[in-house]
Amino acid sequence: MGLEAGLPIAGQPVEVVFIGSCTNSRISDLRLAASVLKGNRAADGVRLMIVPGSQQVKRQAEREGLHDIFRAAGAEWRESGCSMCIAMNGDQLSPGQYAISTSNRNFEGRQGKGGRTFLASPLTAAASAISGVVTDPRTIPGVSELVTVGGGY
Amino acid sequence: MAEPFRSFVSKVVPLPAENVDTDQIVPARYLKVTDKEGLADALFRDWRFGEDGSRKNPAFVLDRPGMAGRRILLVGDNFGTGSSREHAPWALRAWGIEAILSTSFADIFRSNALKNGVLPIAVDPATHAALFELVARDPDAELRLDLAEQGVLLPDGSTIDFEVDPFAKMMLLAGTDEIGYVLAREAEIAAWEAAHPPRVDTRLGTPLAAG
Repeated sequence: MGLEAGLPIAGQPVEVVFIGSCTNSRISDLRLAASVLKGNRAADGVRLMIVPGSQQVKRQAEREGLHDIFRAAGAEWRESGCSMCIAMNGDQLSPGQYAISTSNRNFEGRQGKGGRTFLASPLTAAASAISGVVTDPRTIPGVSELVTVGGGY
Repeated sequence: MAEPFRSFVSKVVPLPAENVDTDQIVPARYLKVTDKEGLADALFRDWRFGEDGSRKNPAFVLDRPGMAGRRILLVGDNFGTGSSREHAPWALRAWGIEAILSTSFADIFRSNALKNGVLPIAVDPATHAALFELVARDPDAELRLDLAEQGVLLPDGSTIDFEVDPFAKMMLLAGTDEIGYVLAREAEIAAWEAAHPPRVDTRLGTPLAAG
């Protein structure tokens, strides 16, 4: 995918950030993403999609005001669905585009023919949206205390 | 539903790729299709066709001369990994593939295949290598596949024995599936139900008041 063995993934530019899928879009995932995005904005030129794992998750997130944090960060707050996990609902990468995605599959062409996918946690995806490159979320102020060893994220 | 699975003789389509995932077998954009007929063109779509819909050059193995009509696919290890996708065996079956030889199959794919008239046959690595050598030596080598006897007869007269789930085998040979199996026993089910009056309100999951 245009990378070389041994190349650090951190710092690789991404154009699309997808926080969604049944794998990593439960309410706890969205709370983590919101904790990183609060008071921040997605980098210029980055498309940030946040797709709740279910309608129940969507309603709960809205009760907690997470959607306002996401929208203020420049994210698209979407209906629940498969979305870019499987390049559905019109959400897909263009050839050559790099994405960071909280889904769990990065098979060739999975998120759009010719697109390339880094798989990551909601924290890492959210942090990468802010910087526009793959970013360790512990470098975002206030986030490191959220990251615990074996914390179940 | 399906035709009964009968023994047959066929040449082999060789695809020496490992870990072929369901996104390659049939890309997600074809999953909205509910008619299996058109799926032959979706099989390995992005390996066969360019952006403009024209066949790639050199052609993918399915599109090479003499491959049409072959019913056995010979592939590398862990075939069908990835998403659960019934369209994967649908597309293989629509193209004409009825049996797949590999060293192993992804679990869900194997189950989907058996329910859709495609027989996954797992062989040991030495046999697998020998099969690839056979088709390299003679691309038109013919194999005889016999599900009832659970054997693949090779041109040299030897037979590869294979395992298959006994219930799946019965379904394939009968050309039916679990639903057909149950429906065929409708009279027995109705008789049992008549002899066992309801004791539970199935709408509420609570015992009925009387008796």
